[in-house]
Amino acid sequence: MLKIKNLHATVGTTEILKGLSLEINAGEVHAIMGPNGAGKSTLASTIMGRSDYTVTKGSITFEGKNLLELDTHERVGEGIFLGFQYPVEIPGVSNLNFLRTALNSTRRYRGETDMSAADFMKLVRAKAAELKMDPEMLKRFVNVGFSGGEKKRNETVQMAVLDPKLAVLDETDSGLDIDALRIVADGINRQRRDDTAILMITHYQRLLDYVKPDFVHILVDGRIVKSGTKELAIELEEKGYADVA
Amino acid sequence: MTDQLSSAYAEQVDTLLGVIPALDAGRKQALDAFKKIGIPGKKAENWRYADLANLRAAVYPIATYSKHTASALEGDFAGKFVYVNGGLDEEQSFSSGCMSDVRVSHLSNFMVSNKNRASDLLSDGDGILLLNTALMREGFVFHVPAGVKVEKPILIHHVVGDADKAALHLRHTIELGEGAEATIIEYFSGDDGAYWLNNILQIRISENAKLNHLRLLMDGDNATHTGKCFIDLDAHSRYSSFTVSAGGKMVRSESHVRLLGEQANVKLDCIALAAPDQIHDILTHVDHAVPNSISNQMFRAVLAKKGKTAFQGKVIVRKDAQHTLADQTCNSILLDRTAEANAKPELEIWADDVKCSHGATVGQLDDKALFYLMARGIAPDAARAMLVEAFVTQVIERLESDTLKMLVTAKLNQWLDTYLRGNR
Repeated sequence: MLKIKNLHATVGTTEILKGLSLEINAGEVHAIMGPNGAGKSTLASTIMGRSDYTVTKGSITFEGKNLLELDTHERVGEGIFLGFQYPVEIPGVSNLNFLRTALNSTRRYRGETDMSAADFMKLVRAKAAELKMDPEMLKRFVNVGFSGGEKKRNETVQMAVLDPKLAVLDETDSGLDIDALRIVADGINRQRRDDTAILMITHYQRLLDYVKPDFVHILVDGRIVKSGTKELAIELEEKGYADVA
Repeated sequence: MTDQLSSAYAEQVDTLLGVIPALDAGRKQALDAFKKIGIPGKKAENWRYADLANLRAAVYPIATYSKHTASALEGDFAGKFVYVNGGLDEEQSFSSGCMSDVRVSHLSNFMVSNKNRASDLLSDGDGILLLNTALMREGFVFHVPAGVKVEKPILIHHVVGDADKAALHLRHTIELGEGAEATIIEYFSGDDGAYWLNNILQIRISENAKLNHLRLLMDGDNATHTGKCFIDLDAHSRYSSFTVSAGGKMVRSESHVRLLGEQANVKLDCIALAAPDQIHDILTHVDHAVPNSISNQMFRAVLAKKGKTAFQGKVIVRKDAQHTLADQTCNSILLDRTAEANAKPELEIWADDVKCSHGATVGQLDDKALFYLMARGIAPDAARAMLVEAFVTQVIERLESDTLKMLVTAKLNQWLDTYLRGNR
């Protein structure tokens, strides 16, 4: 589904990704771990086409399409979702309005018609209930007044509604207590299907206890230096990056 | 130049003498005063953001009355008064039972039976006001008697058409008796002629009375709109004003409020949507003359390419006006680096036990928020429109009436469709 080949990316004049390669197929759950500054968030941002990052070399294809030719919102239309490490607060825009606009934008991109208001409400309420979100929160402004855990749960509700083919989750577990972590993990697990893929970018192996990855990669200094299974994550936790990478 | 203008305008005054006899003396005096000061220039105080070169360069003949069907404003109104080029169009107007207690008149008629009220009309001020005094031809005169509460809004629609390079000088008054309540919507629209609409409204709100005032300034693309509102508030009265400035080429809108009685309360909110090459110069002047009164102002502007706005907000708190509460916020968003937003808050405080604040910000749309929206599949233009809508909606939410909220939101969406969503 996702093929990244020899990706080099800079922010400003600094090169952060220095030849990163990665392949993710449908039905797979991957985890990327790495020390601070390794390029984890840069990878997520580059997959989404954030304008502060420039790809200088290499390629990213998604289901055969050259992703680098598409704008951010188009990549979302193709079926990619980014779970933010720091979800943004948007005063004045309600969660409902935001979600409905987002969903219909991606539907239009794919040539589908807008979802009816009634169907949309049913969908959102169902997904919110599955993830134990108080429906009242949907009327509030996006992430305004939400705790860290509530913001991350909001991300998973959005993911559930948008139902992406590939979900890239950027340090989704940062700042969560055990209860919040369980809810977020539940949301991620509900997204696991034969036709979807998940890429978790994480610091700690704790999340991987709840969302068991098929593959674990270690990202150091802009490249993937080692790949393995869940055992690799445990080894990392025991020995640290220096020893394992 | 002032001499040429003055003699041309003197001729216009001559043609108006005798039309409304009670106003004749005032007209002549105003013209004499105009001869000395002329149209305000950029060096005149409070006029540095406006561009009235066109008014200084040419004489504007008085627009003739005309037949014009206005594009209607949808709504459930107590009454609707459509003025086309300053003349009341009876066919498009109506007054329902809800307003049966309201005394509606027009300047020309009113001054026939109320000659002594001519002195109530303001005649001292800048060149714009002086010319209005000299050349005023018509306007509405509303009196809501004591205790009368009109639930539904009263719509006054000023339409201008076929008045290229001509002027309309209109003078209106609204009076609310003690305990009266009303909602007035003033809607200005016009064709693309380069007309000059010179509109002055004098309002008196008696004790315990409440007036809600929605002003939709949506003049034609090449119009010059100079508007002044003078509002006097007695004790325990309330004036809530909401202005949408989204039309015209050069708009100068002033609100002058005097809080003359204790517990008087004024709210002045405004959203300015500056399209390319438009200037919106919004000025407020709030005079806290007595103790325990409240003023609250929120101004938000959104500027497209080469748009220009200015918010000049002066609050004066006089020596005896203890326990005044006065708040002013001005926020502007520039959608393009060629846009220019100005904020000039002024607080002149002479009392020593008051709570006054002001704040001003000028900036762009939040990049992080934009990326977040795009990262959820929303295209860049739609994302910008969403953030602008959120920014402006926070002012619209301060309107108490759902009817008014809907009207303003509809106008906002029209503007967003044209200038942000690219649907022109």
